[in-house]
Amino acid sequence: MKTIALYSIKGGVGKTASAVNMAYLASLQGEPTLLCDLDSQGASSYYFRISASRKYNSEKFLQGKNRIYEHIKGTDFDNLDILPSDFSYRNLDIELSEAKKPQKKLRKNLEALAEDYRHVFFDCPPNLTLLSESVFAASDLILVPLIPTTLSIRTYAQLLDFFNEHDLDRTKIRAFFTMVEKRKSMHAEIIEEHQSTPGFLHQLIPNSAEVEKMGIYRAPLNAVRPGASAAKAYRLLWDEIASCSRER
Amino acid sequence: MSGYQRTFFLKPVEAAAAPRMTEALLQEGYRLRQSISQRETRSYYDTFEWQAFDKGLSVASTGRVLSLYDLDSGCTLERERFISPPSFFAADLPLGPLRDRLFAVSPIRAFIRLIQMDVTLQTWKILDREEKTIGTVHVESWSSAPLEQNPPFASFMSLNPLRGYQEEMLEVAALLAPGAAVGDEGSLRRLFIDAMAAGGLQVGGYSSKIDLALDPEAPVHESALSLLRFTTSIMRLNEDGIRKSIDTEFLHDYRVAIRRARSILAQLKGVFPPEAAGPASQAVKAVAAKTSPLRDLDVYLLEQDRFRSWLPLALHPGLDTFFAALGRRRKTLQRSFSTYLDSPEYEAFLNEWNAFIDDSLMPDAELAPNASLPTITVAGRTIRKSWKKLIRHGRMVSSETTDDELHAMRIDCKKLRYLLEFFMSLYPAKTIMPAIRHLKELQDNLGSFVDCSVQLRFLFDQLESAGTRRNDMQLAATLGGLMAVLHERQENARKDFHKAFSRFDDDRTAELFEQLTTGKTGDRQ
Repeated sequence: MKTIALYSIKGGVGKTASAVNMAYLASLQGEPTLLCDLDSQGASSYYFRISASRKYNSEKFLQGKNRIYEHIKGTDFDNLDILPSDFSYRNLDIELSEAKKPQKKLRKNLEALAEDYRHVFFDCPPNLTLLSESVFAASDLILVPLIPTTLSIRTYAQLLDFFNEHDLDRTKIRAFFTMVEKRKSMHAEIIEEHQSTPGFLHQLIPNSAEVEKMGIYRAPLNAVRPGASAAKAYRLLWDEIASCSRER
Repeated sequence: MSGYQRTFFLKPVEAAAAPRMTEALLQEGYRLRQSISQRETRSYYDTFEWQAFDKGLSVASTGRVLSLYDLDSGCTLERERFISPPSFFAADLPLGPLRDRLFAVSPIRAFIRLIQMDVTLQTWKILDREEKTIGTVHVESWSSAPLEQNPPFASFMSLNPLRGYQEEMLEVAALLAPGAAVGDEGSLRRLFIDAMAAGGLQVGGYSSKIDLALDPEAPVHESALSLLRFTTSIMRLNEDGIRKSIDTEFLHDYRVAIRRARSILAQLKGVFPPEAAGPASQAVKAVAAKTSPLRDLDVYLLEQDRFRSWLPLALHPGLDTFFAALGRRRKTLQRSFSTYLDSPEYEAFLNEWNAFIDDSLMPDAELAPNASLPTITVAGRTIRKSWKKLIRHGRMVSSETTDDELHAMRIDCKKLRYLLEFFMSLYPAKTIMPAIRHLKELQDNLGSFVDCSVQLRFLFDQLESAGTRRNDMQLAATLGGLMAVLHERQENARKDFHKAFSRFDDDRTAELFEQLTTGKTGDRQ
């Protein structure tokens, strides 16, 4: 089982769109894939037209396998399931802090899913909390979408600092640029400056109205508009991730 | 663990009626979207003994495709391009997994087209208020062709909830098919049985195994008659398959039924008046005798592949000639026996035989002194006698183990085996089953000896009648090759007899028979 987190301290950087499309692309290979919507806003659940069942809440999420199992839902796509978000996830941090080994808690809870899924994606909330730390420990790969702006780069640096300070494994982190607008010179300069830095992926995700329309389609862009430029970019990005994770 | 979860089969209130699938029945905002609708002509196949069903399988042909289904999950296990005739053998299929699966069901019984129907298949997706698919509903209706004129005689409805939508789908089901019960494990099998019954077929309706529950205290005359009625019904059920020459097992079961009948008459002493039982036994023996040459040929033809594997390629043409001749002869004998089955002579036999087995009147005590004894008493006594005799004879078999000795042993074994099978229902399974199993091991040894010896004699006769032309020479060489192998096998079986017999003649088996015939645990101190 390969666990991949889509993570960013900053919101609105295309994190959920990336998680939804990449989980879909992983499932297209015929390998069972689970997307865990850890964001209390539930955007990725919404994209799959799924809401959590009434009985689900953060407490159950932390109780581990069996409880998680009951709440996994099939999407309309083969080999792609989702663990829907629930509004109570906003309380996850408080509960994690009460757990014995909060950093390891998530990893342990997911171990049991290894038989059933080849890929597990985490769509994470945009903040740096105990939950994030638990996600870092549980993930094999941490994908960080960045808009090519100075502000984004700054938060990325903050993340690396955090890893250094807490002695976490920085090699898990891969950054990639999203919402790229070729005509903006600042975008081009920042990409130019960072793209060959270690830890950065080459493939760019263009800014696209199609991605925004995912809220109307309520399905992965790669499923409804596979020919769209952003969909093609996601496909190439997934190929790049797959090939670099083979090298690891 | 993705996509659809287990399928739920619904048991409708009215078996035949397909549920009306309309959105109006659903919760507000829910949608039905028809995804598949098709019609097909389907035929179900199974062997005469329903061996596919017994293994939890069903075999169906649609158009040019033969499919194998699992009767628990409803899933298709295998499919293969095969235009299915009214009956076929596993060996007729092209090489592949379906052929292998059917071979495992039965290598020698034919798969017979049991029923043909027009099938309507419809699949709907159920969407919730978010237009999220929560599962599919599948409805299948069976009608006698043509569909337009015949309302369905059976319908199946199944739900496939997407993962995590089980409860929602069950709510939907309750609205679409009010009152229908959700099936539990094995429910598809029961639905299948009901649907077949609605189509006029009794699933598992035939088995040559004796499954009578005898009353231990009933007079043995009454029990013996019910055994005879049972064996007679087996004879009658197999006649049609013999006439149509569907497979060799119809004749085999027919003959076993006759042998069992004769065994009842001969072994249960003093149960029937001799002047009635004697002629009846003779009459049924005469019928069996007419089938013996035909059965012999069947046995050789079944051995074709094995014989071929014994011989070098150079002798295969001779074998082909040999089998071609056997095949022609079989055809002639099959026709003449079928003619006999339709003859007034056979009808007269049946009338006489039926008069004998239908006469339930307790015979005169002087003529049949044991007739009124309790079944259990006679069963215990007879089994004991037969077992003792087998042991006595077996211990007397010389170290040379002559042909005659082994032939006699085989007959002793068969007699005991039949008795155990007749009276099986009187005894606890944990005693009778191991007793039968131990006996069967001995029978296997003797069976292979006697089969070899019968085949050798047959081949020898063939050789005698062969001429000296070139073709005949080739045939002679082939027969010689077969005889050498058969001889070796016969000698191996002969060598193994004493070992096989001593395994049967041990304390363990003795205790089982003591328990059976005295009802007590054997005293082994």
